[in-house]
Amino acid sequence: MKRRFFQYLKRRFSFFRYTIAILNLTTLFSVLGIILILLYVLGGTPYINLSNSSKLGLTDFERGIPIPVRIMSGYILDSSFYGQSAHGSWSYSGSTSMLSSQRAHWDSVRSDKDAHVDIITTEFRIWNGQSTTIVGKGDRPAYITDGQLLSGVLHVQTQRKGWRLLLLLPKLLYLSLFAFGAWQVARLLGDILSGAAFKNTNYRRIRNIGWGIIAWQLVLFTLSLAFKDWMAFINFYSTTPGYHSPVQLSVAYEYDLSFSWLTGGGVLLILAFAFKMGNQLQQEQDLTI
Amino acid sequence: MPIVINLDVMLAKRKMSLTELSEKVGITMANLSILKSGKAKAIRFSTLNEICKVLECQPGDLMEYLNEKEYKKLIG
Repeated sequence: MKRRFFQYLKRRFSFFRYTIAILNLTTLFSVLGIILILLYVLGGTPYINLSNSSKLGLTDFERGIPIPVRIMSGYILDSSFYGQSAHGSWSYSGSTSMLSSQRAHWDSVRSDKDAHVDIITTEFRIWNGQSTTIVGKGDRPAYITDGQLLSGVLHVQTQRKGWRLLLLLPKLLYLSLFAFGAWQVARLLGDILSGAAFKNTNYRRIRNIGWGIIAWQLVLFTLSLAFKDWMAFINFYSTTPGYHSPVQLSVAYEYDLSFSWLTGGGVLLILAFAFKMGNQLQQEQDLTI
Repeated sequence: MPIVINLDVMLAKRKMSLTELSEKVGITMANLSILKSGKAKAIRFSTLNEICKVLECQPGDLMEYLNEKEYKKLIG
């Protein structure tokens, strides 16, 4: 009786079943994300206003296209980032504004005067490197002694659909791969659950995810090479004569091949090969009387 | 594969149906059909032992090796 009860529980609340449900939801939300991004590219609003204060959807896009950036050089020595020009404005809130001479120079920083970016805002929290007391307990509070900014998000607004698509392409590729991967893994787990792990289709699923990851990395890398000059203007903190810029920002398009992702893709290909062998053994097993 | 299974011949000699053999040997009809049709990739000694016991025959009575020519001729 007790054993049956546990078997029932195991069947009913199987870890696999929950995982499959989560993966299916992941696929659904990823596809929804792709649709909303494409809607934004075409000029639509990727969120709905539920009330005055709350919104549902890709609310981050309200301020523009979020682009992950990384710092090319080490420490942040200064945090006075504020720039304005006839073409648009750049700002960093929470710091002192530039001197007028600096601002004038800032306007000349952009290499491409016809850049299609209207507004760029930044969302960086920058420490100045000084020791800062943070909340701590007892008589030994913690200190930040070595403030360092490594990455952040730029919000870019542009009305041009081509530029929107270009800036959002890495996100679209990532979401597509994520949706495909989650969907395939859900189906693989479903087969494992039904005792058919080494089905002919399963090694193809794993192989496709592996190649998908490798292809995704290569496409991003190719894009970064192809569009490096186009995107250079976003690297507006680069060191320029007459103005000592404390940081260099680089958009995600300046993409290095990720060794971790490539390794992951390679491991999946090896796993797919193992599943293929398993499939052959399974076939032999099925035809052994 | 040029090894031909003569299970149907032995069944006819013993006047036994496939269903009866299946029940006596304890193998499913599906598996016996795979064996009979020559689709099987391998046969366990335990299975062979049971079939030989029930049909009162030698393993050689159940299977036969044909050379390439004979095999092609048999397949047509």
